[in-house]
Amino acid sequence: MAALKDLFPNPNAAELELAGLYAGLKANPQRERNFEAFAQTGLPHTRVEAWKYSDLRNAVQILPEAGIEPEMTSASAFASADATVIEIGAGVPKLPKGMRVASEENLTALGGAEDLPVAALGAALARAGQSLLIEVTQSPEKPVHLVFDTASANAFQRVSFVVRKGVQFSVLESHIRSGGFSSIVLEYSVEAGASLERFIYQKADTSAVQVATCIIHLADDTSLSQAGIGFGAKLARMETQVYHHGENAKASINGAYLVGDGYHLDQTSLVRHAQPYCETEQLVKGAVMDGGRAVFQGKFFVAKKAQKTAAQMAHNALILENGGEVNAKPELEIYADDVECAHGNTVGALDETALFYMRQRGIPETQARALLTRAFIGEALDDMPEALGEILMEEAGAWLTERL
Amino acid sequence: MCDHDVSTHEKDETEVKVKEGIDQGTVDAARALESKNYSAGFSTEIEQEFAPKGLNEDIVRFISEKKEEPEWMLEWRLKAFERWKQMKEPDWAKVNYPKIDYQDIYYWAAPKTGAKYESIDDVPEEILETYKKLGIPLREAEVLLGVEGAAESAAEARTDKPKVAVDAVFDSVSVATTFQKELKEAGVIFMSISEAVKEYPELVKKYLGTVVPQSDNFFATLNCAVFSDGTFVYVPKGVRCPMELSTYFRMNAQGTGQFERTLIVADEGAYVSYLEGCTAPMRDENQLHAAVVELVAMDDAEIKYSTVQNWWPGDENGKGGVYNFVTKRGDCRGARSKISWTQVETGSAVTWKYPSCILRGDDSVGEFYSIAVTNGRQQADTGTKMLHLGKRTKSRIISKGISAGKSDQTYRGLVSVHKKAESARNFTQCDSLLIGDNCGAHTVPYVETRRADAQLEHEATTTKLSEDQLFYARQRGLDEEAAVALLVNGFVRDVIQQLPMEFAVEAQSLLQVSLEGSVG
Repeated sequence: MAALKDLFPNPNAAELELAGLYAGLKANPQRERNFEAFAQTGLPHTRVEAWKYSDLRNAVQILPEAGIEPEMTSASAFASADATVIEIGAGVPKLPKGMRVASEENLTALGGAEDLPVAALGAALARAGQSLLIEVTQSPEKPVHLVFDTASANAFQRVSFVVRKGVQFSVLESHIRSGGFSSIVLEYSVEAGASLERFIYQKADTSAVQVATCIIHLADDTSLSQAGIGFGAKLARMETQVYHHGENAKASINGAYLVGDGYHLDQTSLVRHAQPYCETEQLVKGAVMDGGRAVFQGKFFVAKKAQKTAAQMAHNALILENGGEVNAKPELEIYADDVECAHGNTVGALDETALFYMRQRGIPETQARALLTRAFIGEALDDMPEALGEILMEEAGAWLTERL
Repeated sequence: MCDHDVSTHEKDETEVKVKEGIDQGTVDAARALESKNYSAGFSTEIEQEFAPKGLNEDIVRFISEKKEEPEWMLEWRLKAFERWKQMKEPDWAKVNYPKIDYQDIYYWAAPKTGAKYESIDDVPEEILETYKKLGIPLREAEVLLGVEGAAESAAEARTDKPKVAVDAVFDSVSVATTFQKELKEAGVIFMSISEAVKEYPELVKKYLGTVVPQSDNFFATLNCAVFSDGTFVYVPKGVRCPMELSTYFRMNAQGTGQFERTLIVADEGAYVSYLEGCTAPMRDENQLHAAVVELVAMDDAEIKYSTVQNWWPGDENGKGGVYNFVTKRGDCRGARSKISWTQVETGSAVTWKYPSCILRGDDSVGEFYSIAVTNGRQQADTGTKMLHLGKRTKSRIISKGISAGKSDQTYRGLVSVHKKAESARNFTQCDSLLIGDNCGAHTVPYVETRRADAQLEHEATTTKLSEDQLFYARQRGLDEEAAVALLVNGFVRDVIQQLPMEFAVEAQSLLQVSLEGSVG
């Protein structure tokens, strides 16, 4: 596989090892295509515009060896939710009524893989059984809870859902890692009239490097409701791409984050409006402590044809202590003239007057700060079903009380 | 306004269907800027001297020799040239243009009769005519009578029409600088940079390249090697410059690049307002304009820098036009200093520029006000950078972009708050408007901060101005629209109304545009 190494411009040790892993897998055209797409960029670094604030190449210089302790410093908050658990990678999963595993062979190469090098890597290195195509033909009774590989040093998994016409599908995702390097790829193809709810919990240790990429295709009259919370890792990147392929699709992609000392969390999203009369709303709110780094990159693309698009993006961040870092890039690219798109971005400290007011009422300062911060980020979780939202808010509250 | 029917317009190929709710005045203002209405597109027939086409060390030496520069200046140029050869042309901006052949450009063109004229009477009539046609009087007597001179009533001429000193740059050389004597009495140095290199070498040495370093970027480095002329301004301690200063850049010769260099230093407590205007003839080929502007403001100093950029944008099919790749940067070096950039951008085929402020001094203030209109096949990637380094530094960015025709426009801006920039404050507002559905408008703001006490806001709608200010203005009897206009444009209007150029009128009408119906 000498030729493979030549694919990379200047491979580092990790990239060579990744090429080695690829060489050890059974070849097929889609795997090849995905890996070549990855190799064009290699592990992205700060000079790759989309990774300007998240230096993955620096975070993964050599691949971690052997297994990592699956023992979680933190279990998923969703463990207590009323949902059907599906462990990805643990054999053929037992699926609830209305869902079935389709042949893996029907999985195509990742669309637009060149722009998603790390997702392309994940798709290329996902072995048999780590790569699933699932068809959802009826609305399942309960939400499905996806749990990804937590034990392998290097985890590459891909799950692709086809949500058939009119089906209502609700998914909880737990992205938990105690170390190692992972790239998880999720795809949701939502057919006409169907709806998707996607709720995310991300938590990892400071030795984990974690990339999760989700690509969502929306057909006519579909709806997407996404929300979640993230705490970061040594480097965590949660990326979402939403494609409005049909008319009258509605998407809301919200998120909250709390990033402490030693953690890095990157929330990147791209929403492409290709057809008219679609709506997108995005609200991302978070807070960082000294030594924490939060990245928000959001982009709305509105094609010439996508007239009457309504798209709103807002990112609001709190820096709770000096030394906390927030990098934001809320971007619009618009080619249609009859649309309403707006983006807002604020970064600041807690409102002193609100703090003063609470202290006047006898609430100790730290508690007041925790309450205000919790309320601040909570806005991004408001649209979640109450029970699930509460689970996440409790986590947020505990995290803040521990640190403030 | 909205029931306006496009079909009542005369049949016009370029007629576009405009979205309901967009102010017709705005549409007309943008249309008035279409290339077929470009009024500065004539060229002047004058004998000119050229350096051989192409770029090599000899050309750099030739330019330096032509300008009778001291040895250190030549060394400085050569060093930059060496560096430039190692550099790669950047490609990250959202613009597309055919590769530039740097060997197919004249790096030096000057009117044959000599570089600098002893007195205004020696300046060839053709050149005086050129500037007159553009509305820039170079004869001081004419200036005193006001821009349109005799046509104006004598009464108006006697009143307080402000004086404006002009440095006129024709291709590679400065041909005239007015009011030098009067300015000298005030202690202000205002001359072409080539003269300054000879007359005030210490001052130039002290500041040149300290804001935009030699190796800053591809185009700035190229400029360091081959810059031909430009303006030098030094306002000494405590002096308020008694008049507006301005430079008027005119590209005339065919196949020429213009590489001017401007350096403005406001010493402690000084104040200066500077205006820059640019036009070029209509030519089929593309011309490169790679300028560098450096501003230095010491303690309590203030510099206002305004640009009306109206380079030939190319015709409606995208043929010809100026590539405007400019590096402009101001350094608020002293405490409580202030630099503000104002730009009205209507010209150039491709624009790539980000006037920036380095807010180094404590309590320093940076401002950026921009109105950009693109038409035809113009492409503009423009914005600003505000780097907060000092304590309690403030910055404000107001950017309005209007795209029409088949043009593409991008606002790209960076607000960065460094670790030690205690209590920094930024407000950014950028609105864009599309006229027709063949154009694009893009916004790419970057925000980077590491301070808990920083307050950064980025907004993208006209209605989200500070409620308090709006309320205050309305309390004083202004209706909402007038209040918004006042708050957004107040400063811009001020400056534009002072512009001594014929397109001050054009610029003013641009400022009337409403961003009703803006897309984000």
